[in-house]
Amino acid sequence: MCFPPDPEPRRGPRPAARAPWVARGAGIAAAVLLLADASPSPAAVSLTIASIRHPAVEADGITAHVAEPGSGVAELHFARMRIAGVEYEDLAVRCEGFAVDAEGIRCPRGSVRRGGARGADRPPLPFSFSYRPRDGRLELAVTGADAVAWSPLVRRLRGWKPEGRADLRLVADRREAGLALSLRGLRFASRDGLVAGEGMDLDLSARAERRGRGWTWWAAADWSAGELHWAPWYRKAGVRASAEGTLDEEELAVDLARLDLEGLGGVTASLAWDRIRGEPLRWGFVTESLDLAAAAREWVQPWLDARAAPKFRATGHARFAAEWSAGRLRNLYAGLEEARIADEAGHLELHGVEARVPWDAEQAAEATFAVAGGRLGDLPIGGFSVPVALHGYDMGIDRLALPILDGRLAVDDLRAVFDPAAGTWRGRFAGGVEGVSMAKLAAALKLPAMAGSLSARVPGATYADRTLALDGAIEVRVFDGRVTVGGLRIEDPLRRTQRFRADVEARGLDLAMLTRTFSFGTIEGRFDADILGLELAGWTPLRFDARVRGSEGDFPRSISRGALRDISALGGAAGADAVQASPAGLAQRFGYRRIGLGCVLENGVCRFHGLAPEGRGYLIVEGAGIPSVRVIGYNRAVDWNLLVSRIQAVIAGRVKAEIE
Amino acid sequence: MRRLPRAAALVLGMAVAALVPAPPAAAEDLDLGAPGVVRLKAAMADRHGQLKPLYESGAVGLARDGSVVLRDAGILPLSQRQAAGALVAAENADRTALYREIARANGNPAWEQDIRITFGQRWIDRAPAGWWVQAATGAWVRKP
Repeated sequence: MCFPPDPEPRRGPRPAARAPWVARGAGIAAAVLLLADASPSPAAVSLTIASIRHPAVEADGITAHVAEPGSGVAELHFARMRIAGVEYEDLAVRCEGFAVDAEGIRCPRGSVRRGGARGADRPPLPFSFSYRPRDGRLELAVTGADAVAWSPLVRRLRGWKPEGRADLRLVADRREAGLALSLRGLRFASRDGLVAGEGMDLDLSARAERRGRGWTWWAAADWSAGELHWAPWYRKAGVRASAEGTLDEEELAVDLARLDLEGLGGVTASLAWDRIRGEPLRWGFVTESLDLAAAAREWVQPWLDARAAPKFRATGHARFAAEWSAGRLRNLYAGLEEARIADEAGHLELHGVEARVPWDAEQAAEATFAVAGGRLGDLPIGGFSVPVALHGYDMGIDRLALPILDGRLAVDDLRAVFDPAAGTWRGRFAGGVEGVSMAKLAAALKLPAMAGSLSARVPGATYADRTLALDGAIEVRVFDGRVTVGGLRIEDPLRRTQRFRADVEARGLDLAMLTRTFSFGTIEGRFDADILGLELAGWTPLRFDARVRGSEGDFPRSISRGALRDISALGGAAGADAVQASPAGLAQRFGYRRIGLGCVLENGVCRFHGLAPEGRGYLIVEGAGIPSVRVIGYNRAVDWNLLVSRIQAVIAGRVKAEIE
Repeated sequence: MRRLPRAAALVLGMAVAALVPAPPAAAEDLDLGAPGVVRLKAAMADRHGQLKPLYESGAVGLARDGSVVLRDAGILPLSQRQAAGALVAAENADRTALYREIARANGNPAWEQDIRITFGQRWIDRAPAGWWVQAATGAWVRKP
């Protein structure tokens, strides 16, 4: 950015040559080493200056050649120049129509280019310039300049391969300054292409007035065409901004800035920038009510995608605000209004979401989170509202009852702590599911009708190192028995690569209820089951050691012909041979003494074992009474996917194996 | 921690490579595999159709550590760079999970890093001519 000249330039020694502006304006600290008339024409003047020192400008190795003072051509060369902390090397300036007189300096047709071979490959930067010492009026204009021509002057452009046209007009005197910058068809890219713009049209206008030792300024910008990619974000044009603030030697202050992003909403912001240290002192922003769908699609989802996090959709409105100072975030506000949020996989959907999160780094605050309804998988979730206690990076819920079907999900304690240094979360949870009827649950999950109710308690769970681990066990009462899930661990629970581990124990489940429920023939009795080392990835079993056996106790034990047929069908077409019924006849039910089957799943293959070895096979059902039955398995190994399809076929009643 | 001997790592890598999606070009291997990698294989196979043009254009290259890298986004139209970055992030998440799962399946999670390196070399070896791969020096080269 160009700034007006110092309104009260320090006076330096006047050189002998006709260049009073140099001495007055720049304040030569070092000596003018050589002044020599070496031009071939008597009217020409050549100067060689070793160095110039000024708080804002330094230059070394300066040569100037004025062919015809008053109306001729002037050429300057700077071996090194430093302006406002930015260093330039080997700059060549040419000016046609150059004039120096009592009115000042005029260069109506000038150009700047980098010297040497690098400059020869690039177009020169055309400009016009005038300076009137009487009132300090300066005019600088650049019209139709190729963007790449700026690279000798704007160091940060180097390496960005800029293309496009730029017009600039700067008018300033000792009291005020005005700037207009227009960029057309701007194209640029970082070396890796992760920051790039194409076809961009940008207009910037600014005005400044001298106030005391500094300036008060107003600016407006309009990005009207083109596209910008700043990984992981991408945006098309449609951004307008206006701002005002102050500027002095130490600080650039943006007191009030307003940013309008088409399709998203408006943002009001402020900034204080330390010009000496080159870093922000403080900043803050407040948004208007933003379109949540656009914010989620254009800003949040790309950030999540770059971290391979799940996709989600959102509609509604959102508001955000934040304040940052002294190197850290001081407070943050996030609000959601009439929002609907759903993950793309369809696991979770919430609607009527109203959230208010007023976070403060130093003080405790309370957030509220209310939901009109939604669903978790196929389970409908009723409305709820919950206060969330916030204290720095520690947040928690003391108690929450979330309606699910005819029961509720109860949260007795939920705490989450964020470690900003490590960027990780830790947390703990205690709660459970209470009073959900299995009939409603089964219907919601599109499972066969079941009796009983679901109650599960989670005495404690912790989250650390991307792993959710359960303390104690979850107990579910179902089929008149109990199922206990212990050693539960979920790795990467919020990622697609999540992995689930647990040990499951079932005791005294009513076989008649179970088999009726799943249309698996009819077996009377009770059974116990252990599934040890169960490991799932995305609900696909990877490995387990499972064993099902009849429970000990005094209760009727029988198995129907249909159940025998279904058991045999699990072994495949040859499975029917495994059933030996004696006497078979037309009996529909058979007594049994023991029943048991085990499967060790590993590498996609289920390896079966039974109650005991039996010849070349293994005993699954040991009969008792008359008629009795023995079921012997010969299939030692079955592909897991094949087994699942057989179970599904049996339940669907499509397999009709024959019994001897 | 016991390290997987280099030779064993190579043998293991060769053996397992036959079971998992070989460098993206070998789709015929996709039906085979240990169960732990089946789901990852499916996701990677689905994604391969979208990644292949990025490999061919040179926008994405195969790194020696078994990951893929958006090495030159500038080749792509501006509007496609965001999607390419997301594809690369998703592919790398699956590849990391794949190496971890293979190590687990072989009973030694500590092998993960060796398997990653072994696979990285194998993807590079199998990459067709014209794809960009990372040389031992770390520089990116177009495979002849």
